[in-house]
Amino acid sequence: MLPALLAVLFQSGLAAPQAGFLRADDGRLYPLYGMQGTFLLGAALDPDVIAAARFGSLLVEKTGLELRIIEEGRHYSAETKGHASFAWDSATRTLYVWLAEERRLLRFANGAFSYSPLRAPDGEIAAISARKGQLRWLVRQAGGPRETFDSEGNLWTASDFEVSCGGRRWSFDHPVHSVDALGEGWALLRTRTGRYAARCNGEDVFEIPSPETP
Amino acid sequence: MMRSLCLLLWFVSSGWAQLELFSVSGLDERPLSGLLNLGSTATGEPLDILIRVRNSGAVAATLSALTVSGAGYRLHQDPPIPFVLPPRFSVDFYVRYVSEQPVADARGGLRINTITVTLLAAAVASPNVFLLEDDGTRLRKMSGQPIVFISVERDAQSRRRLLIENPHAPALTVGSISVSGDAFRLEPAAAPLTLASRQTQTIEIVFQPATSGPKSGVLNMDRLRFPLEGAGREPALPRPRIVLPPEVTLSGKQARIAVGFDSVARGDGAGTLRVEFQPAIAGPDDPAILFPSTNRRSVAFQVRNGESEALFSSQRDIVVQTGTTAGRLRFVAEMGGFTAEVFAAIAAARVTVDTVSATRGIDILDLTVKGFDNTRSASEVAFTFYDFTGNRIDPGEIRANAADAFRRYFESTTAGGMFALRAVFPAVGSTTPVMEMELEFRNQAGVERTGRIRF
Repeated sequence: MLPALLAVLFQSGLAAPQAGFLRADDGRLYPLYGMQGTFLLGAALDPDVIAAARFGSLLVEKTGLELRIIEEGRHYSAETKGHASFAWDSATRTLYVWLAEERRLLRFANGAFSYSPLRAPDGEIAAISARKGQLRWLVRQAGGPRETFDSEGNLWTASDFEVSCGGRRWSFDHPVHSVDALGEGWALLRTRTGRYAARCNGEDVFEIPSPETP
Repeated sequence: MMRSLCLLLWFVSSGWAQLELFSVSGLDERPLSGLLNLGSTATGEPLDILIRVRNSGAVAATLSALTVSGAGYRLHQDPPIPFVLPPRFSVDFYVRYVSEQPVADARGGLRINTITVTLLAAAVASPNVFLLEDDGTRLRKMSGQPIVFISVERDAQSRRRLLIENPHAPALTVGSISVSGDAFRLEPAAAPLTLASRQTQTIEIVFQPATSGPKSGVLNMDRLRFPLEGAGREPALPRPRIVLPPEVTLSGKQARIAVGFDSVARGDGAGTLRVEFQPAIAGPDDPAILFPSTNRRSVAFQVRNGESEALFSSQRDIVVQTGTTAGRLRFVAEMGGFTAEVFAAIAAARVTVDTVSATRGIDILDLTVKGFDNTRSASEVAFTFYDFTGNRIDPGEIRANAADAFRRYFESTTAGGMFALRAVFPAVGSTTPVMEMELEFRNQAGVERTGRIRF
């Protein structure tokens, strides 16, 4: 049966477009707003926030002792230690949180937390990705290329002066130190001279503001 | 030339007044009596001795006579006579000896009231030294008078020519001519130099500072000594000019800007490039107009010797964000006292849609549209959805007046013209067949209609 769309409802209305969170060299996290060609840093998050991500209307923050989630104005929290990495499965509207210190996978869906029975592979988990209920793990390889999943599950690989995602490749004048997920499909690429953002489905690389610059 | 000699202490009593005589060198006073040997000097060079007369008595004393006799001797900076000296006061003057001819034993006399002092001096044959100006004039330089060079850029040269003349009848040999000071050199190095009577010889001193700043040296010519003075300066920086790419006139761009020079730089330096923004509309500033590398609206650049473009941390251009607000950008480059500016007008444009993302629920379609409106005047939004066969989904075009929502948002946002619009569509039945959509935005610049966007 074909649907009939009844009306447009500006639920949550208008907001500055978020592109993720940027970690500065001093370890603090800054919200990054913008889109291709225009990026803007917000004010730094509280220093106790060690990881953060936004997936649509869901904001997740991790401190050293707590996981905090804000969704549609409702607040949720769970006591968990250490660093975390996140993945959002838009099909099932489930947030996955990999708790590195506990080596456990936490799920958040429909306003409730639960531990997943899934077991992580051995090694240091660099990133996780979730799509239609399927979870993928990225294990950090000692001496291997720098890799991550972006928020849409694309695998990014940085090796020396090149970064690749899917069939795309980008070359830089300086070695790429790191590649990290931002949000909204953006990946953050760092070289000695700057920070850049790119999307797997876009050709252009954009320079993004650097918070440390005096 | 000043010498201090101590030969005679002379007391002159006049009532209760008592005059004491001293020769003075710096802070050193030496009592003076009978014979004063001034020493020797070069011909033509004055030889000065400072004499001090002090009234050590209890009443005022009057200097009623102050004279000097003998060829080549004279008083210099002497007080008017008669001259009253209050008790414990003193008065200074010079006895000067100068001779254009060599003299081995020049005698003279100094008389102060009733006191007489025999003066003794000598003049040694020496050349006359003249500074030759470019217009041909000659300026005699006495020993001790500085020779000043015009300031030049670092590594550049300025020169001064000197004429050395033997004014005497017999031949004259200048045993040593030398220049000290790293920035100075003599051309040619011509010592010993023998000059026949009335013969002249030109020498040249080159001033070539390797660094900027004041420089000093000395020209020594036997007993003659001429201070050398000059200043080196950094080469003037060229005039900057800002090179803008065409995309700098469009919103939502990262444009690469270069700063070129009107000539090759001949030295190192630094400058600043900044961007200013005058919005074409009322409302908050657009903070996204900045140089990402500094997260500010200014960036420093370097000027390197031999380069014709500025360097931004080794790059020949710098990225600037044009932001998402219509208006006028003013770029200003400042370096070396020069200022260059260039303007870029960003015209009002229709709404730009960057991304559209959708989440399908059983009975709801949750849509997020990201884009920017550089006029901040978006008013009407229209959505049209299509199924997998390309047919429009009922009720067809869904039009909404979002003017108030946009106005409120743009009045308070700190993101310029950027926005993320969330629209939720309740649906009858599954939204799975919804495959494509078209969007239409209306603002002051016109109507922007996207093509079909596939989810």
